[in-house]
Amino acid sequence: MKFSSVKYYIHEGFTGLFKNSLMTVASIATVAACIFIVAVSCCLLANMRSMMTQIEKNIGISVFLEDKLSPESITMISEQMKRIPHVSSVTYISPDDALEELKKEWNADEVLSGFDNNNNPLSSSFEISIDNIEYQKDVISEIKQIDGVRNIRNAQNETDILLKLNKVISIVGFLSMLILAAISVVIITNTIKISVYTRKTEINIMKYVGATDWFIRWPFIVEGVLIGIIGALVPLIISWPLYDKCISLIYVHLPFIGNIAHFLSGYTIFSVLIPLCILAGILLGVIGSVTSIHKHLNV
Amino acid sequence: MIDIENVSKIYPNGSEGIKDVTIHIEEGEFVFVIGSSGSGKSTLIKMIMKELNPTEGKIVINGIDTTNLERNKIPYLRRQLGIVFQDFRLLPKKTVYENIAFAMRVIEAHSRHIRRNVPTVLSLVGLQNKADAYPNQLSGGEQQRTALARAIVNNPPILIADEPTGNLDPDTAWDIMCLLEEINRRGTTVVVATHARDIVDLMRKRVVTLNKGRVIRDVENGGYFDEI
Ligand SMILES: Nc1ncnc2c1ncn2[C@@H]1O[C@H](COP(=O)(O)OP(=O)(O)O)[C@@H](O)[C@H]1O
Ligand SMILES: [Mg+2]
Repeated sequence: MKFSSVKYYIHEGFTGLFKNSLMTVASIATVAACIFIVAVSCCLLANMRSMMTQIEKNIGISVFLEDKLSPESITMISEQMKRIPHVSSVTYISPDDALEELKKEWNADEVLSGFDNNNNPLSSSFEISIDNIEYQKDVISEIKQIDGVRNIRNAQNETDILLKLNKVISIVGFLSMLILAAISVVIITNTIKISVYTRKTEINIMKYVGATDWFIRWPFIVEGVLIGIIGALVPLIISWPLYDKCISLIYVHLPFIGNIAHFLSGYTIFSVLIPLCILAGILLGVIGSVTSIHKHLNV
Repeated sequence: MIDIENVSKIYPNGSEGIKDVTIHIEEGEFVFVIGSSGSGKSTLIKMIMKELNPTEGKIVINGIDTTNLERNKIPYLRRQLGIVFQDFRLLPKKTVYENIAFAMRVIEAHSRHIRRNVPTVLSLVGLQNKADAYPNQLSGGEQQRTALARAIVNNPPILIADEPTGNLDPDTAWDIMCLLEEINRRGTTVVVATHARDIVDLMRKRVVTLNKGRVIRDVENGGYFDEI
């Protein structure tokens, strides 16, 4: 591909953009609206995911041990559990620690006052946390097989709800993005179609004098890609400061939310979102224009 | 240079454009294809430039067999051909110079060559003073000269013209035919489909006559009405 031709494609791509300015504005606006919705849902999704991981970390497994185990066998059990895949931490809680904590939590000395280090009714336990709750079941069944384990307790209900929520969010997010992408492609296809029709004579002459199919196609692909990139950039540039503003407003007016979980920063989200959406814009532009060229240009 | 062998064309709607036509045209020849309206002239021209495919038979252009030519080779076939139409087909928003340069740009010619060739062909067709005019500022004859300049600017070995004088008054038509003859003298093979009978009579070139899709006459130094 010659440099002078590349210059020509880009020039003609821009020319096409400005020639049907109304249609161009309409299609950029549509792509922009779609990308804006994608950006907003990405912000929501990313935050829900990050909050869920924060919550997931707190959903641990308590493993209670049989009474009167030697310190050596407790260490061995600990080692065995650490070796199970997806176990991220294993914390030993001695009966004394457990009693101490219970006393603190209940804040009621009368009930527990009769107990001390010498007649402690609690047993040794481990607090296990895992890196992904999807593997909770597997981890539990592995732990069950370890000798010396008496009982396992986990928050099954919470885990199930989180797992379901995870799935629903992924599916809804994926489907809405698919639909928005389809709408964008249709709109770009139509814009390029009109661009092709306004240049019918030009294209015919190009064919008569022996222009290759690709030479004829490129300006339209450039035009589609430009629509995609502009349509992606505009909403992203608007939604970044908007997002930052929203978070700070939430922190100020609804401080309790900040106590439960933290929002991701605008930079964290948009440093990923911007390149992704521009890539998506380019892809939508290429798909839209190639579809249109294939259908209407006959080259 | 152009070998048309037993070519027939039946349109999808069943109408017959061309029936069993065989014509051989040598390098450097000037050939008129004549015949009344509907006799198949345009159909033949369109098959030479592979805008249409023959239903039967074979066409070889400058050594390129066009019968099963792959799609991506067609542009290179077209570069062997300069093509001129009755309706000029100029781009209204480009100047005369840009219209001609366009034909070079789209086959990715060097800008150096564009700057050199365009003025040359402009003076060959006598339009050196109209380079910056737009098509709607030109007479019909001048527009056809522009189209001719565009057809020859890439120096194709063959020039084909379908009714190039159909929209022009007789004097202008004569000028255009003389220009075609001049281009032929410089070595280009020229094929002209026309029914400008006076001109064909005067020019005494090879004349192929079509009637209802068949070649009914093919003579050197012929006229329109000879022997009919
Ligand atoms: N696109 C077409 N579809 C169907 N029939 C056609 C088409 N073009 C031409 N024909 C028929 O083919 C015959 C030859 O037409 P054409 O080649 O245009 O003749 P000419 O150029 O000599 O006037 C005519 O009978 C015409 O009706
Ligand atoms: Mg005709």
